[in-house]
Amino acid sequence: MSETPPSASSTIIRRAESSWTRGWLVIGAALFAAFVLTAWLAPERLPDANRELFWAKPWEVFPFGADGSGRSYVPYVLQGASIVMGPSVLAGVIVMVLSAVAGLARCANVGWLDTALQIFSEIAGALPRMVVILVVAFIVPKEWVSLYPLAIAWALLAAPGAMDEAAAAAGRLGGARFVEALRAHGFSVTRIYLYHVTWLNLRSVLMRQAAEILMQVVFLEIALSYLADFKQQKALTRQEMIESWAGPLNDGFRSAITFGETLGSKGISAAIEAGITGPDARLHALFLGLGLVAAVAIMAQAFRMAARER
Amino acid sequence: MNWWVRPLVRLMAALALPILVPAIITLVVWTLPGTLASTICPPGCAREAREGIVAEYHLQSPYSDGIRASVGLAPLSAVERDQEAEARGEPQYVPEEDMTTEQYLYASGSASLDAGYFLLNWLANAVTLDFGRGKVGTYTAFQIHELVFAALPNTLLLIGAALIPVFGGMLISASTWIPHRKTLMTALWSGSLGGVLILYGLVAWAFGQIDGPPLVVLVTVGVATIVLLFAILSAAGWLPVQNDGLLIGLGIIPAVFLALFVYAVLQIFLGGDPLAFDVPLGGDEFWGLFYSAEALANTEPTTMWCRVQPMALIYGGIALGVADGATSSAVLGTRNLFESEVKQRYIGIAVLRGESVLGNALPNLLPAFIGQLRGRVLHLVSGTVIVELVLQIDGLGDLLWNSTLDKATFVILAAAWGFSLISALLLLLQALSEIGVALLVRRAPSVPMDDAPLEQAEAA
Repeated sequence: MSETPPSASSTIIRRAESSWTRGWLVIGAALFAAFVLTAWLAPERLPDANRELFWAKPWEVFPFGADGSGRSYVPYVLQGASIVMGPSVLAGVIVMVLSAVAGLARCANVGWLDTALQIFSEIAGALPRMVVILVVAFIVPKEWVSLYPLAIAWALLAAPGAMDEAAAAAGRLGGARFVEALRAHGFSVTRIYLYHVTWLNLRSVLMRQAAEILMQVVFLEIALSYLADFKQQKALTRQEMIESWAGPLNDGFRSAITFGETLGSKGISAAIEAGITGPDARLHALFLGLGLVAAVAIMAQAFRMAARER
Repeated sequence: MNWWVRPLVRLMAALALPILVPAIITLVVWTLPGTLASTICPPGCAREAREGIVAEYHLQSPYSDGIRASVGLAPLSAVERDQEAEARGEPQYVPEEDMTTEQYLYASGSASLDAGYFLLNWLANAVTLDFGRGKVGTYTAFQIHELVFAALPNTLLLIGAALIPVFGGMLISASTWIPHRKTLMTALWSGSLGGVLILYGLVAWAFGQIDGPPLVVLVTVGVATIVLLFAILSAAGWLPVQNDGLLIGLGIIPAVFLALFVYAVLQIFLGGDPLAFDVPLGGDEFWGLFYSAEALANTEPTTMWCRVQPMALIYGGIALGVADGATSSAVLGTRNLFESEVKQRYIGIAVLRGESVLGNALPNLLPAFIGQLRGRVLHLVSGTVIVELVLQIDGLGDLLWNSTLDKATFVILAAAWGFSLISALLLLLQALSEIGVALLVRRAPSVPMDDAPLEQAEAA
């Protein structure tokens, strides 16, 4: 019996989808590589203050401007990346592994493992994540303060949703019947579970969930650091000497309020003076912080799109 | 897997959580270097005071000192060398690093016993809502239950406001399958608008002496305009699919940014929250919102205050409901569930029999909806920490954050236990409703045998 050849339109659609997928993958990988490189280049300490460059604009101190002590924002970007990259990648990998285990357990038809995973999911999924994060932060001794324990806790709490999705994807595939059918074709167990189930069918779920968690952990660090800076308290995710991406955001946010208030009371030119060009203006810091957040969101979205189901 | 396994696991988890959460915290606190007594009352502090704390918080089991003495270790309340005590015949204080293996094992065993004793006593007191005093940092002198009860209404109001967009999103998505959709949506959004108006009315009534009503009217009109616009869009059927991109894009924004946006808007346009007021802790005014100005004037100036910010609560709540994909996932999740269910063959047969889609699909979808809703409420509970901190709302999240920074163990235990109770309650509700739905779906139809079609056919 001969197979029906694919129609011209379906071939075109497939090719277009494939090039989009590659495009997203390139964008995601390029951003990821840039962040890893940034983290690798991070200095141990910030440079000394230079009062002459107080709130210098990007056109005065290239490329991001300077903070209230006249220090360039470049070390902030580098140190911020060094805080988040390791823990966020680790969290993504943990979620990926746990999701793969849940999917494979469904395919292997191991009843007790499925039930054990469900009990874990119910308990971990029933806890409010931020509350657990704060409890973990409380438990970690001051000298060990880092994003790693928080990221691991976040990954474990986020895993139930990802595991459910992976198990459901494996279930849709046919579960144990799918594996049986492939074994009947003579494929080895390793090939079936690693290639057919995980790589060909669970890949999209695993990649999407890992990218999601990676982004969430970066946002978590920014949120926790921002809150600590905002309330002028100790940071929960880093040592005091290291600056987070939340720093520029916090610097710029006050300027945004000043900009808004001036715009309402004195008009646009005074607002531009107060927020962008004036000596005390620091909206450039806000734009830098938001740009970094957007870059992380784009990276995660690019990986999600690249791993989209066929 | 049998249908009752999942609900049973949920029931067990719901019962276990309120014990498990304090147990894990206690266990970890006891495994950290040093003892809780020495953290609260460090070396240099009077030993009598430490003994008082140990007794008040049940930090030591009755057998602990005996066990320690059997291997020549000083009582737990001794955290430094005390020559007077040694002269009285008490064993010498030995730092952990100088202990022999036997002493270390005995000390560890006695610490485990202490942890269990503390946990049992703490749980027994917690059931009666007695958490003792803060003892550490900012909360040293305050009764923890007063702190928690003052914070709870703020957090509940915040979550309540956040549920408005989430529920609205779910109902909009489901509305495609609801008969007389347009009428229903109009009623729904009119109801929401009414709810918001009533809430503002209550605030204005409680604080009539503040120069707020014109502002309230202004803000209400703004909210009403947005809500009505949303209602018209949804009733016209424009919201469901075409705005998915916008909805997803909005959902990517983290709670911290939306909360900051709300903070900026309140600062720029209103100079903060002009309706904000303070409630003293420990008064009779359990629900701070209804606190009267007369009682406020009679309060002692040394009392600690809890700030209630109605506008920050409402706008912060809506930001919380929209941020981190809460509303977008509610809309998309509900729609996806319905879309996959209505493709089932039984729905097609039901439609051919003249029955409604909703009536047939809903019982089968309810467990999934309830599960989704639990996840969303938990997500909101988690997000309250961020919104409360940014908008400076004195809620449970703010309390937990400050006690984390203060390392105030007893406050953290109480706040975490409160959150675990909320989680357990949600799990319990999900399990019970799943059981109810399962029993309803599995109930055999009672058809009288005389009327059974097969019997009639055989008889013919």
